[in-house]
Amino acid sequence: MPNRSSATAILVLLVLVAGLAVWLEPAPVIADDEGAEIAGVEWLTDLDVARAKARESGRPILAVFR
Amino acid sequence: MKGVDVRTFHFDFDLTFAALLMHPDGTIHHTYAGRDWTDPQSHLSVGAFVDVLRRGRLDHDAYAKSPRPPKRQKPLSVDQMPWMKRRPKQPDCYHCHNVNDARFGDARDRGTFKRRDAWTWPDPVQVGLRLDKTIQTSVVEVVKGSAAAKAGLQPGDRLRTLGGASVLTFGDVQRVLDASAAGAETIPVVFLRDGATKNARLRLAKGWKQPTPLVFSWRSTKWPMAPKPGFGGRPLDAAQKRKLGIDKSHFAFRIGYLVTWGENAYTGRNAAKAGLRKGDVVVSVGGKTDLTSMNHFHAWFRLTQKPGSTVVVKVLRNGKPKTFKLSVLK
Repeated sequence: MPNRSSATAILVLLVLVAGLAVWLEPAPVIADDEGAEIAGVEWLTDLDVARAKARESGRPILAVFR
Repeated sequence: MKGVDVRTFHFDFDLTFAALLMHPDGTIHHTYAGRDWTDPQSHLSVGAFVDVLRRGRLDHDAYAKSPRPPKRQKPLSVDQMPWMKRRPKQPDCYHCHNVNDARFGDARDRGTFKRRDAWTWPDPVQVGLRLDKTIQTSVVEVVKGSAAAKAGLQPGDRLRTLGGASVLTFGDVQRVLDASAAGAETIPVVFLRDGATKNARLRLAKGWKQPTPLVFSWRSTKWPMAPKPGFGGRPLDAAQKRKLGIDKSHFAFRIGYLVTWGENAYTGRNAAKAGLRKGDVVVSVGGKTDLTSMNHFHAWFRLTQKPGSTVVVKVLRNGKPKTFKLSVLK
C-alpha cells in the first residue's frame, strides 16, 4: 500500500486525470476497482458494465487499479 | 481486485497504481503504470498520462477499424486462487500485490515455483534504457555496454514501437519486455532521431530478465523468497553514522528485530544463534557496504546468498566492533 504522501499524490493525480479525461472529448469510460465520485466523469466500479458501455459507444476504457 | 479477471486486466501486480487504456474486447492499447526502486511515483506524471489519453485514443480508433480480439480465456480472479482461498481469513480488500502473493503461493505449494517466475515486468534499464518521467518514450540515458547501446540507441531518441507494439509509456515498454522470452531474445525497436524513423534490434542475452538486487528491491514479491536474513531494522542517518565513526558513504542499519514469529521464526533463531542482537548496528554483510536501503539489503541477501554457506556480519555493539558468522539457511 502507498504511504500517506503517495496516496495523496495519487489522489491528486486522479483528480487531474479525471479533469483531463473530461476535456479530451469524448472521454474514455473510467472503471475503477475501488470506486470514486468525480463530477463529469463516468466512474464505474463494475468492469463488465464499463466494457458494455464502451462497446456501445466506441469509446476506450480507462481501467484504474490502486 | 476482488472479482477482477487478472488475465484480462493484466499488469504489474506489485504496483500500487496502474491504469490500462483498453478496447472493450480486452485488448490493452496502453499501460500507464510502472515504478523503479527510487520511488513509487518515479514514472507517474500528469504529462505522461495526458499523452496516453491523447495518443492512445488515436491507437484505439485505429484498432477499432480492424479489431483482432484476444483469445478468450477462462476468467481468474485473486479471490478464486487456491492459495488465497486456503487463507484462514480473507482480506477485506484485495490489493494488487495479493495477486502475486496468491500466484506464487500456489506455485510454492505445488513445488513448481522457480525464482525466475518472479522476474516479471522487467525495468527498461535491464535492456539499457533509462526513460524520461514525462515523455516516457524519450531515452534519457543508454547504459554502457547494454543491449540498447549495442543496438545504437542514444539519449534523445524517441521510441515508437517495441516488438511491433506501439509504445507511449514506461509501462508499455515493460509489457513488451514481460511478454518476451527470458532466454536469448531479439526485440525489434523503431525510434525517431532528429525527425527520421530508424530501426534497430535489441539482442538480449540469456538471463536478461533477472534484475539486479537494486532493481528488484522495491517488489513485495521478494519477501517470501529464501534465503532470508532473519533480521532487519532501520538505516542510520548521516548524524548517527558520524557519531559512531561510520563512513558516511557506507550503508549501516540498527537491528530492530530478529524474526521470532510465524513460519520464518527459524531465521531469527538462526541470527540469534550466530550472535546477533537487537540494537546491534550492522556495518557490513558479506563485505557489502554500498547498499542503499533496507529493501535493497533484503533483496540483495535473497538474490545473492547461497543456502549452506556462511556470511560474515560485522556490527558495532555499544560502539565496539564485533564479527559474526551467519549460516545461510534454505
